[in-house]
Amino acid sequence: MSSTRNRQRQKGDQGRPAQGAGSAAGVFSAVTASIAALITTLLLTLPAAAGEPYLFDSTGYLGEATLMPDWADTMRREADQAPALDACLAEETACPRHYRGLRHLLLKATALPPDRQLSLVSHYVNRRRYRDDVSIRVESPLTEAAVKYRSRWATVEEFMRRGGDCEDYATTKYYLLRRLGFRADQLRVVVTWDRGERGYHAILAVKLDEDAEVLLLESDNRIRRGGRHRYRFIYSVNEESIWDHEAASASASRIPTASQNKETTA
Amino acid sequence: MRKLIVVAAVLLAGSAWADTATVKVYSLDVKERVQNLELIDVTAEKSQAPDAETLDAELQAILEEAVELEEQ
Repeated sequence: MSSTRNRQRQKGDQGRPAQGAGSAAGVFSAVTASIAALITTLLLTLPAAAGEPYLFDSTGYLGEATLMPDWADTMRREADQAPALDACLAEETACPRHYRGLRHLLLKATALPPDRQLSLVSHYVNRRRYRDDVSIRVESPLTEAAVKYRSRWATVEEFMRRGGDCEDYATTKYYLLRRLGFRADQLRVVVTWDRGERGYHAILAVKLDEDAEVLLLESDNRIRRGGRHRYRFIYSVNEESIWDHEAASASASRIPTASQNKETTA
Repeated sequence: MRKLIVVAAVLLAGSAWADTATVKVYSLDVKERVQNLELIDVTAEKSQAPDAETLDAELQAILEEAVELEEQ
């Protein structure tokens, strides 16, 4: 009897570790599933928060803004066309049709604080029609032989007349905020590589004051703060300078630049 | 003494030439880089984001008045 009990006990003892192994396996699979779920969640949320904050510093300073022929040409055209908008702001009867709404907006916006001015301007510009660029032929100033095509950046008047694409939204916001009293050193049109969309994109970076966080004004009415974006910053311009962010970060981390990567436009 | 002057003159000339060469190379690098940057075709179209910033009533009213004036 006792031997039978012993055998049963032994059987039971043999069974217990087997049950323990089963529950350990269950715990292990539950932990694995939790880790997998956590990683998936992180991967899904990471793109929105993966970027580096845009810094308004002199890192990557490349030279004066006039070095970039197309941007210099846009600045020249903007200066030529600005008196028409000045006249419109001074006198309603001097306003062509495409400036009527803009006049009202700018006059109302002058009484607003800067953070509200940029929200209003951003929404107004983002309502405009999206149109693909007008491409222009250029000759390489280096080889004097190669003929290439590039897009032309619009002025405020050109954008108000025909709309534009993302860099035109950014440059128009830039010039309208300049009219509202923002300084050139508070604004930069930034060309980025959008890791999510796999394409180049232009946005306007704004720094309201010295200690403030940089705001990134998007053409989809988002205003991004800090590192909550999916961009790699390529270069930026304002009326004064050009900054080559990609070369600066590549030399810091020794990664290949976009041109070396031969990335294509989305 | 004469040898010393000649050596100093050679060193000065060499240094001046080296500076000029550096500036030329830098200038060419910058031009090339600017040209490469400018050829980037920026064309992304983005529609209204679901988490877009919304305007308060005052700003929305200004925006609507502006749009109305354009449509007249």
